[in-house]
Amino acid sequence: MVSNELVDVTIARIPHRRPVLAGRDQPVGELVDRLAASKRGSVIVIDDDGRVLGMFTERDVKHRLDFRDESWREVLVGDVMTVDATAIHESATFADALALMRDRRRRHLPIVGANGRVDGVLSIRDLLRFVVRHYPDHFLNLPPGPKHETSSRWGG
Amino acid sequence: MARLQRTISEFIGERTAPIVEPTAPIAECVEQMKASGHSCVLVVEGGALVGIFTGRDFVNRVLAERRSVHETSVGEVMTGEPEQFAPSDCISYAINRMAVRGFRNLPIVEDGRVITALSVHDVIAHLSSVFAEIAELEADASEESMEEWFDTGGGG
Repeated sequence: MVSNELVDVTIARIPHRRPVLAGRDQPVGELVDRLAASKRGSVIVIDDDGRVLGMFTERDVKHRLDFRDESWREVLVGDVMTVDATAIHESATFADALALMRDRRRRHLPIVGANGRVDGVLSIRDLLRFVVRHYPDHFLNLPPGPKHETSSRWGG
Repeated sequence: MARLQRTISEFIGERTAPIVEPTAPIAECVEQMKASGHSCVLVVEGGALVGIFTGRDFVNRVLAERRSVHETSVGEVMTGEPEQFAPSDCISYAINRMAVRGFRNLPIVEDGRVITALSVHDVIAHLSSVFAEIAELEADASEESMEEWFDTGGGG
């Protein structure tokens, strides 16, 4: 049982980003362009009430689309998304998010508020960045290995 | 400090990341990612690492830019000369690079030989044990500082 202040921090206090949202009838070509333009790795697919229906990620792009011709662009996201309404509540903790990402091998989790609507997305990088900032003595100014040259305060 | 000083070699998953030549078509790279469960391929020429190509690159540099998956070679769209890590590097160093630079796959190279890629999932799987170690360290440190305080202030 880990008992320290970081694991009990709530999701609402971990810096995260606005999600890329889509309805289930949006074509994936459009979403791929949105992902690239916004430098994101996932789209959260929601219903008319803003509730999570599933996720469309880089993994779905690789595994569920057929690139023999350009017709993949017209496929509707609802037909190729990962149907999984897993989300994390904004009052859940860092430890909860870590466990969910680990157990489900997820890199992104939709964050939902009290009304059940999606209002954010938490990424693995958000968690790691929070850890590194929370424990600067352990993760910053690291002694680089002999093959790395120190060029910044980050140690790399 | 055992866990934080653990090396990257202890965190590497069982399945190694696919290795391709720069001339490999993107379609082949994507197939290799799917088959291996990794979200990257390592690009090697003459035995040396020359690049990395990830699922993110596939979305951003191939699909969003309307390139052909059959006629584009990985050498054209990979990230060249990626930062390399040694199996003997500290896991805390790898976590720093993932957090700060957003890398989700780190090429692992030993004496010029390409071994595999460390994935962010490999790290996440062990992160709670890393926290436990930090919590113990910080508890020890505060006990030590208290002892020091009583020693100097005891006066007796």
